[in-house]
Amino acid sequence: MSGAVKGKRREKSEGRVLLSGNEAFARGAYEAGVVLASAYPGTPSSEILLNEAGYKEIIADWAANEKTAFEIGIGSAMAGARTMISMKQPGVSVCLDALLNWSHTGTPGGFVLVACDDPGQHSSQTEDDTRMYAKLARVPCLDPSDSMEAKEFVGEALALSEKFDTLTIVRSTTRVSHSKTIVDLYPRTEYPIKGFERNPNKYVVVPGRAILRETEVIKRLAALKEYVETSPLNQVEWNSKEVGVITSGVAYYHAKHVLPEASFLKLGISFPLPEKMIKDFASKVKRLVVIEETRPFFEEELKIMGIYDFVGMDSFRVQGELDPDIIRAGLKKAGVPMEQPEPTVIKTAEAPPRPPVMCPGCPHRGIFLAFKKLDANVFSDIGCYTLAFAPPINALHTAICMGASIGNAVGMAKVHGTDKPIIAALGDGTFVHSGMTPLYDAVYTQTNITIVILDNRITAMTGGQPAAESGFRANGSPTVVVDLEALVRGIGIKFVKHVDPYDIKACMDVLKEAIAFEGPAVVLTNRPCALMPKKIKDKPYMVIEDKCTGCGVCMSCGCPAIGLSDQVAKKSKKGEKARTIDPTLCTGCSVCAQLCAVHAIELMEK
Amino acid sequence: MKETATNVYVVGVGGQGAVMATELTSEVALAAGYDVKKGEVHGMSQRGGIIASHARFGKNITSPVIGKGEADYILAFEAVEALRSIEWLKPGGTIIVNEQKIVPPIAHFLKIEYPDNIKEKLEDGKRKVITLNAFEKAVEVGSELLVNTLLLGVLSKLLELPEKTWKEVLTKRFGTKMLELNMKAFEAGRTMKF
Repeated sequence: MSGAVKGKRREKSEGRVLLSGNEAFARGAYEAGVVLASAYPGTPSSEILLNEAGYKEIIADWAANEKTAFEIGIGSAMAGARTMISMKQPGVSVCLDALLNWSHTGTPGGFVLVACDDPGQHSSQTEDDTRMYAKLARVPCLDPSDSMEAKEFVGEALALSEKFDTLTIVRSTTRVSHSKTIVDLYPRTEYPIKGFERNPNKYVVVPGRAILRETEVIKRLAALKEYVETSPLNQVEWNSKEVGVITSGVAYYHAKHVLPEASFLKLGISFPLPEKMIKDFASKVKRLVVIEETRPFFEEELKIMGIYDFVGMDSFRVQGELDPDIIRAGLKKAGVPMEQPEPTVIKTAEAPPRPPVMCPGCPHRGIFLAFKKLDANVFSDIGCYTLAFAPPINALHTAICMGASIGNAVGMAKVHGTDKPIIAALGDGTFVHSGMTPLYDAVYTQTNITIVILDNRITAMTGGQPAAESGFRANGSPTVVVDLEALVRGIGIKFVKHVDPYDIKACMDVLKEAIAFEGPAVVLTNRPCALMPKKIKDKPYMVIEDKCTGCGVCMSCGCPAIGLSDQVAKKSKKGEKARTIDPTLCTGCSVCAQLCAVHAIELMEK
Repeated sequence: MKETATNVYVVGVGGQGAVMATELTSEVALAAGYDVKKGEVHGMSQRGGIIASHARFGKNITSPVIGKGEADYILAFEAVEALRSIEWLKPGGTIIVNEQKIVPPIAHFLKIEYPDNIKEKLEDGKRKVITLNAFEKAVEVGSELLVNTLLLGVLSKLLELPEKTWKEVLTKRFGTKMLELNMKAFEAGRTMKF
């Protein structure tokens, strides 16, 4: 059981279970009486809303993007309802405008933002640190270390939010969100919804009034700085005073694993920091060590406090996730004494790489092969299809941030930066997230680009969350389907065509037409994701060994169902092995069969 | 009850059920009264990527991550992933390798041959290597979908967790339809001789 919540027992536990950090955040929302939850999916945060939607007491929906999620949350909190918003860290950048203003107004209903950082960039474009946003917005930031704290800190954050009239951030990291640890469950506490009370001085952020709020924010920060000195979430664990560690989040446990004999200052609140507590701790230990993920945030704050003599980030790493191995190596480098023996590592073999690939039956494969055959410059976006940048498909040339594809293509076309066809390719989810507004720019300036909306009707990359074009909500209940064709026509697109993305030739024909069209043209693909919401499994294809030449062209579509047989292909010229298709993996999409020049791939007759 | 932590590192390829295996092991440890932490990172794994999942149980568990040279047991669902994981195994530890091969689709493009003699490559005289073809054995028992439970059967024989608790957790996890077959596969794993 983690330090900060140890000994703080309320009612009798309803049970002890293993929960992931994300499941625990959702449970925390349930227990703390959250009424509305909103989120945009993004690894490592997606399971939070997924689990909130499982509690009938919480109105939980996926929003179009992080900013709308946050704004929906503001509406709910203005009504006095306890509210929780969740997203991955790059999403915080998307909603920053709303966040910085809402941090000024204050909130009548408890408002917590759970933001999940991704040290090591397991599935993120950037390795930024939410604590920096907390400092920018001058709002408190809580930093749980395990699932029990993840759950409890949601309630603590909501209480802080109401007490100090401020939105509160709970910052998670991939390891906290995805690890499972033991959690004690407690019943839900209900908080009545107070209802909206007009208060233009607070809620109308115009300069004349906003400046008065600025004064309040300054006062609030001073009060918070006093509060954190005595908050039970910041804890000193005295042990040997030879080494003292200041840490937070999962890094606390990694450090504890390596230095079980050291003293710890575990910061459950990572902004603002308890200056007196830190100075006192630092003065009492022989060697001070600061261990944190992701940026040197504590380190810089300590230097502002005038504490310079400590072992910090440059000993451990400059980028990436922390783990016990990295911490041990860093302490050794810095000459910090360790009582635990170092593990013996024996490596006997190397293993070939295994990067992720598109799934068998993925609807993105065929159309990206068409882009490749047309030698188009493909400005793309963030989703499963981004994998098309890598071998063997190699048909995607840019992916900057959510919704960037269309704007990037418009800019490129305006300066005539390429003679090749310009295609902006993005998924339906990304289009709804932030692709609609740049489409307006394409129409407004009548720029000659082709926009391909890869409409697989789900947010696939993050595990299959529904969106406006899926026809159902987070809790599974049915809803309307947004008509993407009507939407793009409404913005003013004159060329709109649908195409089967499994059919490479049909894709090429439609794309040629769209490229030749004067002005922006939109192509919509019409196959759902092969995995979600329903797993697609049609009759599989097979390799006719008598015809296979072993040329390997079928493998250029990067399908995991295609492998090498043990036999040399009968028609092989240089002794190449025949190809095989795993019938349990093949979904029958036919893309590889379209590539085979000798027609050696046929539908399995069974 | 064992005081020190037992570290079980489970590796495989997305879709094979490695995460489920760690999940069940952790559930059994929890039911047996241990502190438990299960760690992994998911997100890209669905798309045929690498799975590495950590289960640690004991009296008091700190980090959810098993460091290199710290695993008491490795359960490898796939042969190449066994090679990739071997640094995590401590001297005196045991690795269980399912000999099933899943060729990375990139191998053809990079002109990499799938490695052979996996057992030889893993042997160093300091650690125990157990190899088996769980796929064939699972088909023999009744279905290729049973690889996971069969391997858990093999692992369960090595871990100090009560057989009764394993069976209770499996009964809770599998619906009545699949329970009988899974129990059969679990038993088959437990009774395999190496």
